[in-house]
Amino acid sequence: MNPKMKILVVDDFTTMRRIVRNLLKQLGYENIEEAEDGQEAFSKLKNDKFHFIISDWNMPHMTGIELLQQVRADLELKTLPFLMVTAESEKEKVIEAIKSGVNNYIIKPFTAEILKEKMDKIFEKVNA
Amino acid sequence: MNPKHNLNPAEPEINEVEKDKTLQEMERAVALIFNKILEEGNRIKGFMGIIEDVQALLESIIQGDIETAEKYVVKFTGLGGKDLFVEVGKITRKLHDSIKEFQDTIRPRLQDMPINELPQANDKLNWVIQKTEEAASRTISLVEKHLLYLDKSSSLIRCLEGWKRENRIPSELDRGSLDQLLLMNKELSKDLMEIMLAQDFQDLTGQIIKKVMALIAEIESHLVQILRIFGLKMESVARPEKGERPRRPVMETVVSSQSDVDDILKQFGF
Repeated sequence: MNPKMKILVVDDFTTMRRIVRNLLKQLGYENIEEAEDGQEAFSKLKNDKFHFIISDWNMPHMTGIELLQQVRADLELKTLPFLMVTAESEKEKVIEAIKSGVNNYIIKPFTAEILKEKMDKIFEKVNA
Repeated sequence: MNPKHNLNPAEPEINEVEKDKTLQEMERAVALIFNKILEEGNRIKGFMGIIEDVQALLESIIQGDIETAEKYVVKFTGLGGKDLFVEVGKITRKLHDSIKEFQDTIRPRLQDMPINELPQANDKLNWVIQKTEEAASRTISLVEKHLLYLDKSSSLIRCLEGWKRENRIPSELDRGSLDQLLLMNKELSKDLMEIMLAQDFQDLTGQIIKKVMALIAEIESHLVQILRIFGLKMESVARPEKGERPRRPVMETVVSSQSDVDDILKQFGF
């Protein structure tokens, strides 16, 4: 775990962004940015260097799955670790996210332990 | 009547008269029915004839035979055509009456729905989202404030531990008291995180409310369309569906928990 790592939290609900931000702080991450939807997130990703994305699925303008597909289609961003945190719990949705290239998937509501576990798992795979 | 069973010789004459009368009545009824059948048959024949004539007219137009076509047009303006127009007129009137009846039935309630009730329902739901967001935000702000205090008190405890080791603080503050302070801090931190995580209800309920709002907006726009088709005057139109979330498809398998999701992830090598 690198506390300097820059993480982008994408969610249209301020409450959820603040919760994830605080959880990440508790896990030791300090460099956290926020975006309200996929569109804002993608423009931030293109203008700044990020190391990790935590994104919701359902958002106006550009959804989380669209953001994921756009990230995977972008030459500079395609390997960026992407964690989907969403209330969408349908099997089809999970499979769609996997096929689109998500690194892991958390369904809301979730705990700090689950977030840590999933992030650790992604880092293990990325660093392997 | 069977004559073998006739015991009274005067009776056959009366019965014969009655029999003739009944037969005459039956004959009249059969003739009436026959005439009706003939009448209907002629009408059907006439209708079939009209169809045949229309077909011939179309064929003559296609073949460019204007003379024949004109002959059929003249024929249609005759008496048979009038009957057809009368029938079409009757059907049109019936349709018009049905539409009017439908308008009268839906006008009082349905017309009011897209103008007042549905937008009001959406406003109320929006208000719920706003209020829950405000409440969740206030709670998270307080948690954040106390998490900062907690950080400070944790570093103070660490400082006290150091002083204790160097015998720089009164003996009343023994190891047990310090351990207790540490435990309280840890518990407080855990509870504060729990309180903060519990605020995710705002996101979860908000998402459902937003989906319901999108559905209401859709119903609203369909109602406006129906009212327009049936010619009811509208004072307002459906509002734009801003921030609408995609609708959930009907046939989807819902997995119940994170462990179900983990199973799927596992199947895909995660």
